[in-house]
Amino acid sequence: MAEPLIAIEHVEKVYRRDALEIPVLNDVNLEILQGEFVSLMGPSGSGKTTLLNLIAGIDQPTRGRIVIGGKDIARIGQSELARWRSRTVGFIFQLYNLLPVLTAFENVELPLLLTPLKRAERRRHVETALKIVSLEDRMDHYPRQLSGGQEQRVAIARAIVSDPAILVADEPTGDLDAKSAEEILVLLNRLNAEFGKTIVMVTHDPKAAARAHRMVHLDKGVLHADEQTEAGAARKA
Amino acid sequence: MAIPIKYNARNLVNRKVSTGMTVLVICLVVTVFLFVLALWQGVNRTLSVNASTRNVLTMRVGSQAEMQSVVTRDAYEMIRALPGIERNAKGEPLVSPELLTLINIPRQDGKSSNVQIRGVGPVGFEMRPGVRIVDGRIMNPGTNEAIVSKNLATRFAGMGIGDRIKSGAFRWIIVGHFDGSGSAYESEIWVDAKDLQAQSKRPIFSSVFVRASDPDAAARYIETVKGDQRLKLEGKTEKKYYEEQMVTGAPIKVLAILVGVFTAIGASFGAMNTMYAQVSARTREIGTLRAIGFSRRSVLASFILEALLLCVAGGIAGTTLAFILFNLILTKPTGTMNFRTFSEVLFNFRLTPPLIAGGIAFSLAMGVFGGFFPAWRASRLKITTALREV
Amino acid sequence: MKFFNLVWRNVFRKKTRTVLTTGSIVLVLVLIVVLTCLLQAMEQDPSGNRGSNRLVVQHATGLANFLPLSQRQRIEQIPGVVAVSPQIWFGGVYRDDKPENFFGQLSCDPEIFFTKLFDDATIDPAIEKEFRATQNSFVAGQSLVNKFHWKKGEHIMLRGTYIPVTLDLVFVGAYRSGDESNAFFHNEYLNQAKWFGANRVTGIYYLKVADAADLPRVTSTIDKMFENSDAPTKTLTEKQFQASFMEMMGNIKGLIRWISLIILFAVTLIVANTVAMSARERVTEISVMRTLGFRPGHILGFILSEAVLMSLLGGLLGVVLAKYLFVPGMVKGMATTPMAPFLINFKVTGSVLLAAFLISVGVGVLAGFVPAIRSSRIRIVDGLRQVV
Repeated sequence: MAEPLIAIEHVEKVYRRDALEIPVLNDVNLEILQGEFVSLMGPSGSGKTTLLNLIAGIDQPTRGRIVIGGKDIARIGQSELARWRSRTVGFIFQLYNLLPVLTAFENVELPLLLTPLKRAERRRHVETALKIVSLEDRMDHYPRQLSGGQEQRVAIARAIVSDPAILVADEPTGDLDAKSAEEILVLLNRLNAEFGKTIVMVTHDPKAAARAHRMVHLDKGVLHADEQTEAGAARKA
Repeated sequence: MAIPIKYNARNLVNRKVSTGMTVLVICLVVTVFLFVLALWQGVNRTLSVNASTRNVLTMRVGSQAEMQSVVTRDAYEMIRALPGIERNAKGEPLVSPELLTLINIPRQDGKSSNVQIRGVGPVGFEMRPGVRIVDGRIMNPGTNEAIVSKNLATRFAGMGIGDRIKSGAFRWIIVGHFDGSGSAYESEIWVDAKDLQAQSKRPIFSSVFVRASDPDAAARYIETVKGDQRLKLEGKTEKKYYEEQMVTGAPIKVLAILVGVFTAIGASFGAMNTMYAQVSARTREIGTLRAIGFSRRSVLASFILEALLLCVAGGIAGTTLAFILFNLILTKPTGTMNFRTFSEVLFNFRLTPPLIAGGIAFSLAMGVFGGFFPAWRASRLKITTALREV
Repeated sequence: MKFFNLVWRNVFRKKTRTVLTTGSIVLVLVLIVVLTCLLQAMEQDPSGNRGSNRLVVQHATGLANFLPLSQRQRIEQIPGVVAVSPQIWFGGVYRDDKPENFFGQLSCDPEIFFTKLFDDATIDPAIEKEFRATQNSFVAGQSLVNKFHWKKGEHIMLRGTYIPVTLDLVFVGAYRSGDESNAFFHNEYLNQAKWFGANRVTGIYYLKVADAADLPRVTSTIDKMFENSDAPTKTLTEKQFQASFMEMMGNIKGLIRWISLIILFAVTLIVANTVAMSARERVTEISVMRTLGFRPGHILGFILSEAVLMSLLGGLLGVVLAKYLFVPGMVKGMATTPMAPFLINFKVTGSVLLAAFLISVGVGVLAGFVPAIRSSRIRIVDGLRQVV
């Protein structure tokens, strides 16, 4: 079997609130292969978002290892982690989280400002990303001038513009109507199939979860089930 | 129906840092404003207190200050014979020929200032009941003795009883301290007129003080002097003379207005910012209040009230700070140049009740100005949109 | 520089807030510029701060006392003394008694005054020659001439106050120098007026020494020379002499300094509050940026830059408004006060403007520092959940 892209080994996460210790994740082990599309499911408070944050490198575990692309990101410093994030992970939020003061173009360009790319090169990358999400005609619109679905597509363009290997999405369809949600899911499938992005998505919508290759269930911080979906079976075959 | 004031007070307490900073800004601005105003009041009070409408200064025509004037002995004798002048128990007319000059003496802070030195006779004391010896005794003629105001003694060096004043050819020995009831005389050193004539080698007088029997007699006396071609003198009531010197305080007044207006607008901008931030942070709350049934007017009043609370807290703090400053730290008299006499006029900072009221009113004004626009915005919010706000 | 757009957009995120904050900075800076210029005007040095090797001899008791003219010759004989001019402060009334019409009127010895004594002043040689040749003429500082619009050949009347004579002087021209608030006329013309001290006494001696190193020696020589005479002297450098008037103003200078400092502190609080409010409202956004790979240092830089940029805008506007609107307005406002003579030297110098500008940057840095550090320390997961 191929080396996994993401390997989560005996991960524990404990939050401290004053003197109280709240265990959120308890000995979680999970491997995700290159090119896989995994959905994380579970009731609220199950720790699925925490697990996603750990994979995205915006939080670090109390114990255990998170090896991504051969690197244990549980053990590296904040600055290096930030650099690692900007190269390796694209994050998609439930509420899109675009910067209201910037246009669609400028929002997508934001991660590229951290690279040594020249202005013209940045423009090319941004245009490519916006073309993939079919919003090349909305470049100069501000977020408030866009619909929810459009905003989420801009957010996806922002996530893929620096060509990261992994996309993590936290309830990306949670705030959208059915039609827009479907568009986003189609887009994610396409990014997975066509561009080979490894995707980890948190959702509580079983229909959305079914679009992934695997569904991982969490409850009370413990990994419960890890099942292959029909889509996953079809891909294997 | 009004929204309870408790709601505003709790909101202010809830955001301690932002409230604290705004209150501190208002407090500082009020303190500075009161400080400058107290300075202006101090100067003016010194030049107006105890200035009599019956005491008339007689000086050479065109003189702006006693020091610039010259009155001869002959003229003095002629004045003594004029009508309308009050007489004392001994039957002498209350006419005091006085000589003034400046001496430059060291202050306690190591710098130096010009001080008026006034040569007077016993009648001079009789005419000014506000001037009393508080320590030591009155000077004796012919002994080069001097008395200084107690205010002067705290500001200038070597002014204790028994100390000697030495400046140029002047030599005086201090035998007493006097209290001038807050008047301009508290900026002076008093000596015997004949001694001063001798030491300064000037056998003349600067001015002649005359006590008229009543204000009408004072007016008549002024007319008589004006009409007398031999004298070439003019009379001015003490009150008018010092009023003319109040131009000294004018730059401080301009300064006070300038500083007051600029800082007040600046500070209310700060308060306005805080209130705008509150309105946008509490949009949902405002929507809820409106949905419950509070009117637009109640919301408007409530937010203005909150701004007023914020600013008045600052106003009270600022007034308190000024009060502490004036009563505990700035208790010594300070001085500024009297532009008419080129000597130093001494005064105390005075935080009068009207000034305290002014400070509070000043902060209220900032509250109204700073609170109105944000409150207006709050009262205009649509309930439906406000409730949808995250 | 590629981040400038982001910072700029964030500065104008809430326009009302930015306008108000910038407005308060503008007001405070205008005030500071005006107050500083006021201080500078009062401290004007005739040599324009270059140092002049000049001394002023006054009566030891103070300016109100005269010195005998017989002292002149003895001072002139002191080695190192280049030129001595007796001068009298006339203090006359021009036009009317109003303080705004008051200005410095000094008599001098025209033969040496501009050539050997006040030689750092700039004056047209033709004017200087005419001034020397015409006994009832006067010259005045350019700023003073601008104020009263005197034309060549115009007569002015000065009614004496402590010297009871009226002078009728004819204007010949202007001089330029660091202090342009005075008018100068002939000692001899004043003597002709037969006042009580004519040909007998003077107010001060104004003198120049060849070498700056000689100043202390000449000073003590003069004062020792007359120590036991009828008119003991007190010799001061020109700068000390000017400063002695400032000292008389009492604590005004210190007062203005304190006021400036306090209001600067207040405006720093206002800006800090604005930046803090703005940063607090953006906790989620800041976390999103951190998620995208921006480091804490970036966030710190952005918030700090916002504060500085806002202050800078306020500073720029304040400096411009102060120079072109408020300072001229201030001169007008003070024109009817006894400050008017000082205001003749009232100029907004480049260094004041530069200082005001730098102060505004300083306010921005101080105000932005704490919110910037707090923002940069937000934990991403907390920020995304908005618990901060």
